[in-house]
Amino acid sequence: MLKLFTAHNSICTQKVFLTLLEKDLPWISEYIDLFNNEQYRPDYLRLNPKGVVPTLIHEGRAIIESTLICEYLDEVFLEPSLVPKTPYERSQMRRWSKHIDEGVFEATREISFSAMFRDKMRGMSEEQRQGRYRNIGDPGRKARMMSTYEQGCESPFVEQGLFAFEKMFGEMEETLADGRPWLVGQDFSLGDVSVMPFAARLDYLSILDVWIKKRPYVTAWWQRAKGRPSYYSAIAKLLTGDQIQAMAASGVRIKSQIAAKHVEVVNGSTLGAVA
Amino acid sequence: MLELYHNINSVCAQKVRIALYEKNQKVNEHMLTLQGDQNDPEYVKLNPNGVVPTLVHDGNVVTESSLILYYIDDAFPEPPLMPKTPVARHRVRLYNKLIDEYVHNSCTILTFATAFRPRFLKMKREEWLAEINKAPLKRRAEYKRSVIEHGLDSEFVVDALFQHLKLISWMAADLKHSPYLAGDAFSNADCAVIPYILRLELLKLHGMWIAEPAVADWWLRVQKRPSVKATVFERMKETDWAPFRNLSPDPWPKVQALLKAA
Repeated sequence: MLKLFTAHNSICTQKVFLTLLEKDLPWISEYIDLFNNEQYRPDYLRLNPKGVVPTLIHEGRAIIESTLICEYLDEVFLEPSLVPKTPYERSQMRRWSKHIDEGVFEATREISFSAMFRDKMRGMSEEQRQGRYRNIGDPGRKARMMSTYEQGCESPFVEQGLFAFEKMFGEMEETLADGRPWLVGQDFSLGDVSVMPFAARLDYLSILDVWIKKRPYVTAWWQRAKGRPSYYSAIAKLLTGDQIQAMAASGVRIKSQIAAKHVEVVNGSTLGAVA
Repeated sequence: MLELYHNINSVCAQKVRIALYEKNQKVNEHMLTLQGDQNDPEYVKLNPNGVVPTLVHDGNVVTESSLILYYIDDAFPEPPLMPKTPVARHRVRLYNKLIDEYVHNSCTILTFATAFRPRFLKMKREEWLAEINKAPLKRRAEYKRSVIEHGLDSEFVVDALFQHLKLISWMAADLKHSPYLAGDAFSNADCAVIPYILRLELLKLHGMWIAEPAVADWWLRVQKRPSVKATVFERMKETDWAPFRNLSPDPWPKVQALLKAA
């Protein structure tokens, strides 16, 4: 039996859920409480040295990194395949996961953080907060968390995040403009799986239309994606009413700031340039 | 027909040249200087991030060196550069991911803090700022600004060293039970890692793997491979060696001190 370590409302785990459901594979989930620092327990760090979710356990081995877990699952369980057949299409599929892994993932964390978790951190004592920073080994990640905690949407990291989303949605619109239903062509693939949870998070924060309202092909793609049974089971069904409400309420608070910054980005401002 | 846009010293281009040679593939080469020509509108059409390499195969444009490595193995299956088992293939992808997300930026930081810094210091501040702000990848401009100004004293250097040490520790762990990084055969993992180890050596930082004899042994072996000799060492002209000759000051004592203090 496949076992998956996950956390509530973890975007990266949602990719793996989508893959498991699309491939009709059964699994059991074990929840890690990120707000109680369970991800830094020594027994979990042995499986996942970065202390993040998800981790897949298959045949006694730990498989890490959500993008690579999805590719691994597709290689171990061949049918139905979520990886295209031709070398070129395969490289295109991986371009979407690269967008996510090298820009959009951090962008989502920073935007989600400035919308939701910032308030949760405000409720902590200074000592608890410092403890959280200390636990993050990666200095880049620590700097981003401290900056978004202190500056919210004004953090330069949030601005860079806006760029990352703008670039991805722009490329999606161009790619889908030839009328293809899915990002890599006629068939649903891991390219779509990579992007869906991130679009969903922006959608729940009620800020997705900042990027897609003027992009009809992306809007139609998103409707198709949300209509897949796997979307409901992997994402929508697992969220509680409280979680959905909390995301919507905190998203509304930052929406006008995000929209204003987005206009600057589109107009070619120098946001993110160094001086 | 294969076309490769590249540069001799670019670590990402080196990976791809090694893989193409291992696959016995001949390419038409287009050389970039990377001193501004990577941002030419014609090139940015092919490669929107304005980086090398770009591979064009029968009209298909493939960018991003790790994706090019996978592409080459998919398009030219023999001899294989991906292992057979899903677990070993996952290991290859983990190496590429570690490099793409951490080691590559770290390599840029160390190189700009040392070998490439003198070229910028000869320019006016506004001139070099304009040059680094032209890059479409914004995050990298911040690192470059810091290391051009502060050299090895930049706040980004210690982490960049630790990312390389992490790579070396992964290599040491894997080489304990197999001759190559992802098993018994040379693979895309080796292609991807070789240029970063070479770069550390060019920056006189080979002391970083002195405590790992398995890594030193692997490095000696892979340097003797015909693919590495032909596509890396035999391609480097005096102008390619020049930035790494007479590094002044020698980075190693400073790096040792930084690692000791961290």
